[in-house]
Amino acid sequence: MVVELTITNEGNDLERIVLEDELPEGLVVTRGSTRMVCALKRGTKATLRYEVALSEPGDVHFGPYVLRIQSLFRLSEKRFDLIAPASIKMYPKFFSRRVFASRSKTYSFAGNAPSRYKGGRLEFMNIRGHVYGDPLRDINWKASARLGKRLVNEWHAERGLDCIMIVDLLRADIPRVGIWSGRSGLISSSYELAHGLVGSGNRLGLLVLGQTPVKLHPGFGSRHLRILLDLIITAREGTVWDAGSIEGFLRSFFRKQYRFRAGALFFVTTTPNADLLNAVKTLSAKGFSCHTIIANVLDDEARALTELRASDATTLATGARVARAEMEWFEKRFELYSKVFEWTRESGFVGFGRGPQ
Amino acid sequence: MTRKGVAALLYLVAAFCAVLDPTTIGLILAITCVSLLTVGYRFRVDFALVLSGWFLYFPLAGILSVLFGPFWSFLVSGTIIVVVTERLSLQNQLSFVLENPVAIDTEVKRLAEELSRVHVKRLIQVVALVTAIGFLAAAGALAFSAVSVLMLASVLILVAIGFYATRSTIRGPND
Repeated sequence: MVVELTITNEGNDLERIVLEDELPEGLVVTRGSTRMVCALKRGTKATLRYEVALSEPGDVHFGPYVLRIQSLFRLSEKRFDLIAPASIKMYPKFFSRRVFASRSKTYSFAGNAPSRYKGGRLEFMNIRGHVYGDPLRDINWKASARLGKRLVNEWHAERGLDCIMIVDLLRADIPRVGIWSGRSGLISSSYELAHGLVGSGNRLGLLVLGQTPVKLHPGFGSRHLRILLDLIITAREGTVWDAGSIEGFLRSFFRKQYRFRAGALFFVTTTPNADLLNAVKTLSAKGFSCHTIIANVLDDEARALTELRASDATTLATGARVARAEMEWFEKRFELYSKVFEWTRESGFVGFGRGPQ
Repeated sequence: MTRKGVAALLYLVAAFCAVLDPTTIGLILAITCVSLLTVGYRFRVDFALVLSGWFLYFPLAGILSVLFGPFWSFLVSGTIIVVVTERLSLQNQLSFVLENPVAIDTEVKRLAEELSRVHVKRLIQVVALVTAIGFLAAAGALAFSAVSVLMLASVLILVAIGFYATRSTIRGPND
């Protein structure tokens, strides 16, 4: 993305100006400089131009920039803090895998929430006589022609499930190496899961743990998916709302789902840990259908460590083995109380539904 | 001359001072200069760069006294230090644009180079002015008492600096 900041001198000639843009956190300059030093004559313009890249999906806001007007030898200087508001929102890259080509049934659940797709044609049931109000597309023309009266096909009404996706954006659970962080993988996996669930006709709600609790009631459709994605992207990492507060939110915000134990809970995390395991265990014992999605970002982390030259190859290989073993250990524990899915950037969701039936 | 060139020049002057100045204090000042210059250059700190030059004021004056005499050598030393450190300071500012490997915006580069050229011209003017004032002061010292000329020159310099520093009518949104 190219950022341009143009200043115009409408006053007297300026011998030397320094224009400096304060780069928001999370942005990396790929081309150009955020600082400009030049002279500016009356009536002329100067443009500070640079290209930036976001290291991970997110929402960044450009705030103040500093303009210093100096004499040529810098014996005098005036500083102005000016505002040029702008914001950039970066969405995760989504490669369609098995869920995008059509309305996939990969994540279909026979829930009790009626699908938004009216007259859902999940499964053929019967042929009956036509009554006033039946949609034209349901008429079985061949059978009608054979028997000489109008007949319509009957289908099982499609029903979706109320799902609640709980995204673990706690600071301690997001691995971070230099400018790289596991947040990108977490957001991508959450988005892919949300896309699959909503695309399959399920209603999806959201709860993000972290700085501030982000909550969204279950809903259908692409508009809802867009809102959900925006909420995930703009959610801040933090330490305040942890796994212990999940049940409280379910009880107070997702009341219907909590009261009837309706729907399924999807826990999305990059680092499976004891707190989350405890929350899954508790909710599973209370009758919820739990699913754990582990976004495996170990390869990305190892790559970031290699780029930083933070450790040698042997240490890195040992570390990767230990991290893998830890993840597998937690996976086995999570499988006792929930169905465990693993997500990798390269191959999407793998290991479907290991866990209690 | 680029930032690297000006810094190399200052390193060279510091090396000369360290070698030619026989006193321990001269050596210490030269080493301090080199240390500050290295830090300032590495981390692009303007203050350290300017300060590093001023540590050479006395050793350089001592060395130049062989050529210009004990009185004029201080003026020459001061002028050299002012010119070199001022140039180094500007080059340091411009280096964010000119020496940045990803900074290839031609417009910003052109503006920076234009400023650099104006700066060189103004520095030449300053050197010419200092030389002229030096000669005038020498002529004045023949006719009047040296102390009164010195006092008058000091006052004039202060007035000139004050005028230069505040002459720009900068107006901002808060004025």
